[in-house]
Amino acid sequence: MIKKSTTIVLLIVIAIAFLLISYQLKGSVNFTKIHFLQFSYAINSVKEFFYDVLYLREENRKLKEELYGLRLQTKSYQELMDENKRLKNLLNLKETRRDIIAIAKVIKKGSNKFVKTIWIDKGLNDGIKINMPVITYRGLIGKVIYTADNFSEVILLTDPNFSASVRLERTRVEAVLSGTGLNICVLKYLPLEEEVLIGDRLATSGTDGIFPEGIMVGAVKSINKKKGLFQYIEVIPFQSELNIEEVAVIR
Amino acid sequence: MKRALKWVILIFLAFFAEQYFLIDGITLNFSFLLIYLFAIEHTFTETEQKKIASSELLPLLFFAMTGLIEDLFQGIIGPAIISKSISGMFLIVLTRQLFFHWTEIFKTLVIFSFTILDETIYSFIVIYFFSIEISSSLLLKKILISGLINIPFGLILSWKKP
Repeated sequence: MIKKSTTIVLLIVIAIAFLLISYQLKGSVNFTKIHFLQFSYAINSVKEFFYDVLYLREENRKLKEELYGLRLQTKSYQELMDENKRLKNLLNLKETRRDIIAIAKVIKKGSNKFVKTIWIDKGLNDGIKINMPVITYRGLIGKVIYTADNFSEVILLTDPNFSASVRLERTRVEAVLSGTGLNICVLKYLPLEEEVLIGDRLATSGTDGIFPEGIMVGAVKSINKKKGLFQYIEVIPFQSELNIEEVAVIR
Repeated sequence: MKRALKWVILIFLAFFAEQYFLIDGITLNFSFLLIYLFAIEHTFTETEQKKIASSELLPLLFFAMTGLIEDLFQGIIGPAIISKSISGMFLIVLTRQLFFHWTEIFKTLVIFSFTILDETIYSFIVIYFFSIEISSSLLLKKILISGLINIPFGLILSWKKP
C-alpha cells in the first residue's frame, strides 16, 4: 500500500488542484492556454536563424519556388479547377461583403479535448479578435475563441457549446441554434405551434450581438414534435466541417 | 542526466502526439502512457525491488507535473493534475500487487482500464465544474477509443519490462 506521507501529499496536491479550479470558476485566476504552434514557431525561428547563418536561406527559397512550380505542374486538372472555384467564391465574397477582416487558411483541426475547433493562420496581427464570426462562401462556420499573434482558434457551430440566434427564412421566426458534437446542429426553443418544414433555410438573425444578420447557416433536416414543450429540429449546416479549407473572418 | 533527458523527450513526444493526432475528431490520451511507463519503471527498477517499501513521492510529483503540462495545453489548471495523480497512485499500488503476475495480458488490462479511469476522472471534473456540454455517447466513444489506442503503444513502450 501507499505510505501515509505520500497519501498526505496526494491529498494536498488534489486540494490545491480543486482550489485552483474554484478560483478559475470565480474568474479570479486565469491561465493562458499554451498552444503547440507556439513551440513550432519557436523551433522554426531557431531553424531560420541557422539557415541565415549558413547562407542557405536564399537557396532554400529558390528551391522551394522550384518545388512549388513542379508541384503546380503535377497537380491534376480537377484539383486546379476546384481550387480556382473556391478562391473565386472567396473573392466574390470579399467583393460583396465589406465587413471582412481577413481571409485565412485552416492550418489544423481541434486542440481541445471537449470542444470542436479549427485553427486558422491569421491572428491579432491581422486584426482578428475574440468572438468575431467566421464564414465561408457557403455560410457560417463558427466564431473566434482564441487569438495569438499569427493564428487563431475557431469554435465550430456543430460544437455543443456553440449557440447563435437564427431566423427561419420562410416564416421569419427566430430560434437558437446549437451544436450537437456530431456533424449536425439543433434548433432550440421553437414552440410546437410554429410551422417548420423540412428544407427550410436558416440565416443568422443578428439579435445575439455577435453574428450580423443574414449569414446563411443551414437547412432543416428533420422535425420531431414529440419531445417536450418545444420542437426538436435537426439542421444540416451549409458548410460541412469536413471540407473547410479557406475561411473569412468578419466583424 | 541521461534518464532526465529521456523523460523530457518522452514528455515532448507524448504531448506532441496528443496535440496533433486525432481520430474522428477525438483527442487521444497519450500522456497517460507517461504515467504508466514511469509507474512500472519506478516499481520494477532493480534498486526499488530491493527496498521493502519504496517512496512514492517521486512518481506522485511526476504524475502531478504531467497533469499540469496537460492542463496548460487545455487552458484549465486542475483536472488533469487530479486525474493523473489519482490514476497514477492507483497504478503504483496495483503494479506492486501484480509484481509476480506481470504478463502481457495484465499489461493490456492495466493500460486499458487505467486510461479509462484517468479519462473518466478528467471528464467528470471538466463536465461537472466547467459545465462543458458533451453527449454521453460521444464521451463514452472518446474514453473507449483513448483506452484502446493506448494499448498497442503502451505494450510497445513497456516491451520486456520488467
